[in-house]
Amino acid sequence: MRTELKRNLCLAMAVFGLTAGGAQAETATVWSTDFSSEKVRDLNPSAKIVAAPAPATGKLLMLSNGGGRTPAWCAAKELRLAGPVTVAVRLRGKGFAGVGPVLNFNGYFRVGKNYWGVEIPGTVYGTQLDETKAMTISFNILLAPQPESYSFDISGQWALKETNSAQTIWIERIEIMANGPAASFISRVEPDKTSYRLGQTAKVAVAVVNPTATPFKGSLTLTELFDLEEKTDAATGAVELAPGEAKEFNFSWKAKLPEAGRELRVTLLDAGKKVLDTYTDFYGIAKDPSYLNTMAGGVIAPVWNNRYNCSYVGPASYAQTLGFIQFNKAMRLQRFEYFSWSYNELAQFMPPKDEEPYLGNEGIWWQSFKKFKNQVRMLKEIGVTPISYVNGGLWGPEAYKLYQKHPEWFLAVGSFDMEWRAKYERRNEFEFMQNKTPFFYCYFNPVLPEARRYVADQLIGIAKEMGFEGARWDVWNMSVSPGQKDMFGKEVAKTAEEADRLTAESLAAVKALVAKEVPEFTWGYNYGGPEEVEKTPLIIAEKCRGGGWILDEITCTYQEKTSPFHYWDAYRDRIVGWGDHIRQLGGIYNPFPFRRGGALYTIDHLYEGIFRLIGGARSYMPGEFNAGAAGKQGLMAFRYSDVFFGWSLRLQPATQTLVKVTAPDTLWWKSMVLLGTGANGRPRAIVHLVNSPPVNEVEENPQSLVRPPVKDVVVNCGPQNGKKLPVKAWVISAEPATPDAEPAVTATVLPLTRHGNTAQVTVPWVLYWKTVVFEY
Amino acid sequence: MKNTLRQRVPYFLLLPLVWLVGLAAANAAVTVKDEAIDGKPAFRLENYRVSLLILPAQGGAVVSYKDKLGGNVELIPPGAHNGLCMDHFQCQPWPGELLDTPYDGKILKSADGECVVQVSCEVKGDFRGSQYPKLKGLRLEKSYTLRDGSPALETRVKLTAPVKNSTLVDYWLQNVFFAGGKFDFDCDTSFRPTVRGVRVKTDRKTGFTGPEDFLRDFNDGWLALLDTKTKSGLVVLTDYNDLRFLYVCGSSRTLEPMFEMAYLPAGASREYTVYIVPVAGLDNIVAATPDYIAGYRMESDNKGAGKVEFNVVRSMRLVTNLALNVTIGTADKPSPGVSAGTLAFDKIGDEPQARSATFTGAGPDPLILQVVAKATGTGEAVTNRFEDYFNGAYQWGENIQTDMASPRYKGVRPPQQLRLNKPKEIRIPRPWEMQMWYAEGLLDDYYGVTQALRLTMRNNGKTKWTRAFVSSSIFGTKLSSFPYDYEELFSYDYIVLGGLRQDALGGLVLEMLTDFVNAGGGLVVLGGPMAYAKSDLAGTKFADLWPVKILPGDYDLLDLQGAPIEVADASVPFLMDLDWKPRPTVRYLHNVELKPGAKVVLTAGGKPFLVTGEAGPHKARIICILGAAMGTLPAGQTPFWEWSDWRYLMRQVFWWTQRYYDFDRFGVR
Repeated sequence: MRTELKRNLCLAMAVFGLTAGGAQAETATVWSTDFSSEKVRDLNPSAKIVAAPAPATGKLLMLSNGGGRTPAWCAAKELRLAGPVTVAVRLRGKGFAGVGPVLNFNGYFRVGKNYWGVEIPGTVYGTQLDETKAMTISFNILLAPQPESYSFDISGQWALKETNSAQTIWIERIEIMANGPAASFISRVEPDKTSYRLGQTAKVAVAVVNPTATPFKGSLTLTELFDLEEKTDAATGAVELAPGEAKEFNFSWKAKLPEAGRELRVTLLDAGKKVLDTYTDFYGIAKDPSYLNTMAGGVIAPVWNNRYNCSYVGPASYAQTLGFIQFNKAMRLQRFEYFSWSYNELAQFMPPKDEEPYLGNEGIWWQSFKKFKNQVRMLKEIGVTPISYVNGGLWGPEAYKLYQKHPEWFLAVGSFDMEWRAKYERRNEFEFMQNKTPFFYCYFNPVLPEARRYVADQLIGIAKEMGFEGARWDVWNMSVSPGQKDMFGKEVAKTAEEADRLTAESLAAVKALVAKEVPEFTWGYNYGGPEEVEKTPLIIAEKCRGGGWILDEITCTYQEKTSPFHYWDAYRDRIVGWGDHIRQLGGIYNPFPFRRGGALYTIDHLYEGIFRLIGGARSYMPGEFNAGAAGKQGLMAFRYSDVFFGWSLRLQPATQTLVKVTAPDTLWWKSMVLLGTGANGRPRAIVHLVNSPPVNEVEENPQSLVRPPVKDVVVNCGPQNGKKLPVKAWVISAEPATPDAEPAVTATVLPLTRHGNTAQVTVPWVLYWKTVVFEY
Repeated sequence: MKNTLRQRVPYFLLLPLVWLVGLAAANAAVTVKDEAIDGKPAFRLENYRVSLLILPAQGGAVVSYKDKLGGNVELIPPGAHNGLCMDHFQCQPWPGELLDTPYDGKILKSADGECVVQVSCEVKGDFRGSQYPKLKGLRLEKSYTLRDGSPALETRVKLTAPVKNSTLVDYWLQNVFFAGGKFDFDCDTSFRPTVRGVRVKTDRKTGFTGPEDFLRDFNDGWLALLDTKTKSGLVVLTDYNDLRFLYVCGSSRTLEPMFEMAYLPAGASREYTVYIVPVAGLDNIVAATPDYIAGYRMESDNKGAGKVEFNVVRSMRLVTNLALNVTIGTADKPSPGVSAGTLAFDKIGDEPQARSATFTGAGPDPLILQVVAKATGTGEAVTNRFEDYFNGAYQWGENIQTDMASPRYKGVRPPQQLRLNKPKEIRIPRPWEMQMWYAEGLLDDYYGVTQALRLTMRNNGKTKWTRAFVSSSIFGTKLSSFPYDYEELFSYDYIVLGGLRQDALGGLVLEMLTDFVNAGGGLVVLGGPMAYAKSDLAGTKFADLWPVKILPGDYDLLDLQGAPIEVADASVPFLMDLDWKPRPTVRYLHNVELKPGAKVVLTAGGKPFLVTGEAGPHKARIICILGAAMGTLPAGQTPFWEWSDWRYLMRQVFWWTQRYYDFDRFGVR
């Protein structure tokens, strides 16, 4: 890894800090304000310092919803900090409803006089605000591992579309908590990759700070945790630091089975083996890292878009590329798909040497091959699997040449424009402006061995020369349709059944050819929805075989009123049911969010995220919900991957009698019971408890209102195969375990009682979604 | 039957029915009044239904329009380039010279239940300094007629070429207005009939195919824009046969019929008739004719059962009875479908009448609605057909397949009947001067036309060469340009026709190409993946002139695996001075049938490779090259298009085809 990349990765963690965090040994409040030193005054028409209402004393910062940015709330200087830091804001609110975002925090930690600082990625949601009861909302930030002197400032920006002066937030206190000066602590744990293929070497850097005036001697232990209670001792090592020293310690080990998301727990012990600090981070181990791709890459949409754009059609400086790489690393993502980057697609992915820049992206825009090659290399360095989009059509000058040489290889000319071609021939002239489409498209006859070989060679080429680790087909995937004829009028497939068979065979043939040269190359496909594969069972089976990434794109239209699936109960069963089907065929399920980028309202984001994850979905698209009190659901699915998308899972029919939940009908569970096997080999039953959306139609709840939590949900589980009862149970959640707690990804053991011929547990409350696992 | 307005029954013959008389009497008489806008004369036409203002000073356009039944709100927003019946030419960039041209205006008639206002101007052919000589001197006369019993505004646009010069007219009628009185991104909705069903677009909902501003696959002569919230708007009716595009700007902001290019010989005229019909009470349109305007609503259970309801209002003419015979089929098998019965409407007026029917056994969604409508008024009953694509539960929510490009259903487009003004003499003037028009199709660049052409160029300032390009998409094949002006067409000596399909030419171009050959123009036909059988030209008047007959079907290519070209007739002059030693070879060859009089000059694999012939009264020379410049040949063989002397052969083919005088001079014809 390049030096500058490593340095910048540290910064990246500080910027996003969404997945990793420490459980600080000696957390101290390093700075706070309760506004008591402020004078009562108007900061602007919508922001005031006011006296706290009796009987309380002190002062409050009162913000009325006047829209836009608020004035600065407070500022601090010369805070010496390193590693994990928490900003806690205690506040009340009036006039807010629903789970939608209300106020974004614009908080920054800055070093010296730098304008750019480390941003707090914080948002307050309507459901978190109560007029009478103050709530503390905490935001965790990772600063650089070595101690620095920071300044801090914070303001806000209203997230509501319309202003309303009756909507008010009172901020009582703002507090910064960090590791204290009394004991050594871990300031950073940094795996070199977000995921490891089996046999790869995991390298982890652990930064330790000794803030005391005495030397420190101790040790670090690194433990991998996976599934519910599995763990492996990964590494240990001695540490020794001088007074005031910050130092990095490096560990490595071979990644081993099983495939699963991993929690890495690092413990700092003193010489007497007393635990001083623990620190948690995450990475995955899988044959194909895409298998684990549930992290919420799309949570911070503007940041995501910013990072994504530089990996798409626009130009990218090296710094922008670094930012993009850092983002992927910080978000602990596993997969990145390069959409339509190629020069001439299957005709010739990579541009000729003298074509830099080249007209790629379906001929729409100028591309830099150097940029893509750099980004692919750098993604691989951090463990993100780079995937090449494959349109399936051949286009542009190389397709034109190939078609002229071998017209017998093709079934169809999709389109052509000879005027555009004549213009394209003058592309090196200054005044040249490109068209919006390539001048030539054509499609292979996939049953011809020559065409299969050509396609395979192209993909082998991008794997070997570019470093791509997989391909995802879009428009065409070695497909032949019934009635299609070759250039001599010979029908390639007479019936739909024959077309299904020939397409599946052609796909399998290309996969086999590529596997001979690049054994770990992975595959993904469009047209993975049930409506699209109704008449092509062999194609969908072939697509899924061996862990195919199955894009269910049609779900992006389901919010439309004409869709039978724009009702949440129908959507739930469609996604969960089809996700199970794809899993059973061996595929990795990837359903699109509504409208591709998510539905209109926060409530819709929340529930589509929940049902997609219950359906075993993996996604690289925005729409994953990580807001309000719902918690880091993507991280939860990643950490407990066997529970949420393990290969052994099998959805049970809604009529099953093994599991029974006693709760109001508004708590959905009946069509979300699964059986499976844990990493320890023991059978398990899983039931997802979803506090249903109050409005059953998608995009019909603009206020994002939610139901009250369901309390004391009783879950009974009978004997499997008529024999033994469960011996242990857990409740897994990303949302708060209790009403007063903050969201956290946890698996908590539930007391199990025998109730007749069933084992019974009680889940204290379900805010949006909790999952109960019974182990036999 | 498509709308053929120019053949319509004169309006005054349609009135005698008693109830019609009563209805007309109940409606206030039509009036025309002089008014002024900013001191400029204007004319107000008004009847029981509409009130509108014509401003000659602003391109003779309708600058104010209110439908009394449609909320009586102003449909035309302020601004110089908003209005109805605004004149434009497709060759000029918008807004073109006419939108701001002051027209002359006068009241032609105000009697017998109708008022007529005429506006007129002379086209200068000059827009912002760019010259359009083929428009210069064109006389434009536009007459607006409003009648006392009809909501329709009849607009007749007569274009007359100057006495001494021909013109080339690509007329375009623009209607820029806001349905419902103000623009609404979600509710202002355009409707246009196509072979893919009625295309329905709003600004925000354009579907997978985008706005489709320029619609080429229309199958009827109307377009409509409604505010679906107020259920009001306008329908524009015109002659299907005259149309080139049904254009709507930005999905839902205008209604603009764009007409086919028309060549007008000196002094000749062409008239376009357009009806602007207000609609109130409908939130969609599936059919519009001079007799009725219909919207419908349909639902199905995706198993073949469902219900269909039609709402109908009157159009330009009054009809006493309308019978809609409704059939429902599937997109895979639209015919024969299942009958939903016949819905009978009587005395259709301005208020919508509704009738519904149920159907069973139609099959799964998507469905095709097919209707035969019989309208009975005062004259003979008029029958027409229309159809629509009904999506229902079909996966993508619209007429598209999973490639996101091809339509799920595509009906048959009725042929358009041409109106062509031909010159008196179909004859290419002499002397010929190396002037070539070339349509370059797919892979035609491999024939080396450019190099061969350059070898014929003479430095006499008279050589002319023009290339048009062929393109193809899901919407069909297109030609980038064509010399629609007979004088320009006849200024070429010969044409090189690359691979293109008949739909790129359309009836108009096909007719003119036929005239070109009949006028004595030379023709070289190239082979290739879109040529001969694939061109779909078999059986056309144009292809009938060729010395070879295209075999039936879409596939005529033979794989010769590398057959050398052999000289079959060494006597032809264009084979002189060619080096055959490299043995140029052919992989793919079009298999054709020779016609009487055809001369096979070159062969490959025992099949004709190059055939000559003569056609028409002036013995135009035609050469058909049947070898396709594509394919890979065995090692060591020379593809004919890479043969060093191919360019010389092509050069001499061009010379011979256009009767280059040097051949004559040395007596080697």
